[in-house]
Amino acid sequence: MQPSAALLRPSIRTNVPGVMVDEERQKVFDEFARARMPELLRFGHALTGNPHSAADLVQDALERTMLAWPRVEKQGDPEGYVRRIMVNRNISIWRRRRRETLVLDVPEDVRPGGSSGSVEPPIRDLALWDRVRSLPPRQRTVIVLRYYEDMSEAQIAAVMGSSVGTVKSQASRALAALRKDSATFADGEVRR
Amino acid sequence: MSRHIPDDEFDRRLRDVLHSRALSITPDVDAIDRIHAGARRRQRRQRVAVSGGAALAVIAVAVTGVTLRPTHHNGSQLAGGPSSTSPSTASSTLSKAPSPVPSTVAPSSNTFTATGPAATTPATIPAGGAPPAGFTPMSVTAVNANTYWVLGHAPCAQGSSCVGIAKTTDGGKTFTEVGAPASNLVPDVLGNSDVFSGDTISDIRFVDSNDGWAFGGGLWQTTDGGQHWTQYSGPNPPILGNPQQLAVASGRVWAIATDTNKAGTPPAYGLFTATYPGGKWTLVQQPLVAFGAPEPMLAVQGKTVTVIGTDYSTGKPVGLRSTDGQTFSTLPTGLPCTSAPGQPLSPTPQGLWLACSSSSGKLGGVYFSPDFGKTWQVASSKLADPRVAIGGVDDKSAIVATGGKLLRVNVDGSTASVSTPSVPASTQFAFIGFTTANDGFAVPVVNGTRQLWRTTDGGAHWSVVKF
Repeated sequence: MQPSAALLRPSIRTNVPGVMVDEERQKVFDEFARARMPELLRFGHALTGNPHSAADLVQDALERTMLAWPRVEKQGDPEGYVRRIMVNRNISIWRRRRRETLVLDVPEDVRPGGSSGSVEPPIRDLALWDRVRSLPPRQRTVIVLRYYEDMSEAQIAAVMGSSVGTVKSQASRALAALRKDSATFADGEVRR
Repeated sequence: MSRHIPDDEFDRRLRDVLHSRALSITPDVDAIDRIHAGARRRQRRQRVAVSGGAALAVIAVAVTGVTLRPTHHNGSQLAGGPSSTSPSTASSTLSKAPSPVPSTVAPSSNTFTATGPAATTPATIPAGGAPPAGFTPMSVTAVNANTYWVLGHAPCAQGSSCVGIAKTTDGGKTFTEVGAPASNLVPDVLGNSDVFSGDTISDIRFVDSNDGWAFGGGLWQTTDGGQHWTQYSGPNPPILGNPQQLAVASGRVWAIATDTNKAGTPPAYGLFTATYPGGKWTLVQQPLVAFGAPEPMLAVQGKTVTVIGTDYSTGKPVGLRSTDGQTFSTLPTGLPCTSAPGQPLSPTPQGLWLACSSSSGKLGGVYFSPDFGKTWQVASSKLADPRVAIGGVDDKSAIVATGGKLLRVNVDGSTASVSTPSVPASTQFAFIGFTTANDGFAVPVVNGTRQLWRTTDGGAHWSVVKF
């Protein structure tokens, strides 16, 4: 039997044993990454609450996606794949950095529109944003997937690999925490 | 005093916050280059990790990510066996048969180490040629009487052992190597434990000429008949743990894998499923039971899924069954095996065959369930050896390995001898399985080396497959 044509084409070997990614696929991946990166960064920002962590998270997810690109491309939803990695990696990373993350006070320079030199306008409801950022990552993830991605509870459960019941309880706790003393920042009285 | 904010208003505010333009981040100009560089670093790290071979694998037993599966202690039959496929139903089970005897080896024990071909780097036998001299079969899977794949290993030029997959389309007259996953082969040494990791395989399974899986700790999939393989990586943390059994039927893949939601010792096992190709793996909800070691057995026939294992909490045998592939319930009448399960389970289109030791642990028993686990009837309880491998032929009989030889056990309790190649009495059988009521395979371990036997007359006569 002759080797298949695919094996005769110029190729680069991925980290996945036995998987070859040819140059054409590499270009397709680059185009995908370049086109979707702004939105992925924005999603990462919502997930992590921090632009620097968002950049790291997106880079991590796209590296993994690149190495699995033949399979990911074949599945037909590469962005969904990247976002699922981001969701799960963010929770995983948080587990390792728990002590570093469980703080309410956030350095000023990582706030959107803060003193970091961002050209974007500041978040109008900054107090609510700060409260979102202070949520435990799983709860924050549920909130982001629900209110940013407009996912159903079943979809969120599928992405997070948990049950719908767990998602409901996480959402309930998160919303309760966000609503707590909500009036105090409803009128922007305590914006920091 | 705080005022209440209506839900709608609060939801709107939350959406506004999360969709604020202030969350936008401008990508760095060199972002793509950094992704390439990062991917290359990952690639190098993984290569180093993989090429570490068995030494690293053994060391990793004490760390996370590696699973020790106790199999075949006392030299019972093995895992890593072939699949039994019914072309008419496109349903089969890759029957990895753990020990039929209650495990006396703690699953977390690091007493057992990887030996044999797993000690090699993950080199593969090149595709396109005939299997090299010394090709030793480990696992077989068939889609019809003439077409089957054999996972095995052979000596390499480097003095190590290479993983290969040989395919035949003429019933075994000729074989051609197809591509193989660059993975370590779990040795499946009878009487030992297997060292699994995300880069090991022990079994192969094809559901048609294109779609196949190689698994056993790691998981690879092919959609082109084995020419190319893609490793499952999934999200991190992974949804699917180390898969150790896999079956395909009715458009779904089913797997028994370590349950990553229950990290600890001993390992917990879960039933996972996905559509194929490329479907997302999900843990089947098991509100009724969580499985502990030894790994539960999986049998899939059409949409009927049966899992028999050990309750993680109580250590007692427990079984689950679904007739629609969605809703599971415990097996209503319990199990015929009074000892802990871990016995081979073999599906046929008409029902399930199960072999297990008797309550005394000294005799083997054979049971048949015409309703896939709901009720069981005794076919034989007088086998001389509790170390039983079984392959169901149909609803009338099964081929059983006991006492170093093959035997036909009929559902009415009668037995009959079958014709096999001459082998020592010490021969153990890693696997027996049937593709159709006529075509079947057995994997005996003869003087420490595996062979592949084949029958085309329902198990009456067996011959060695030559590579």
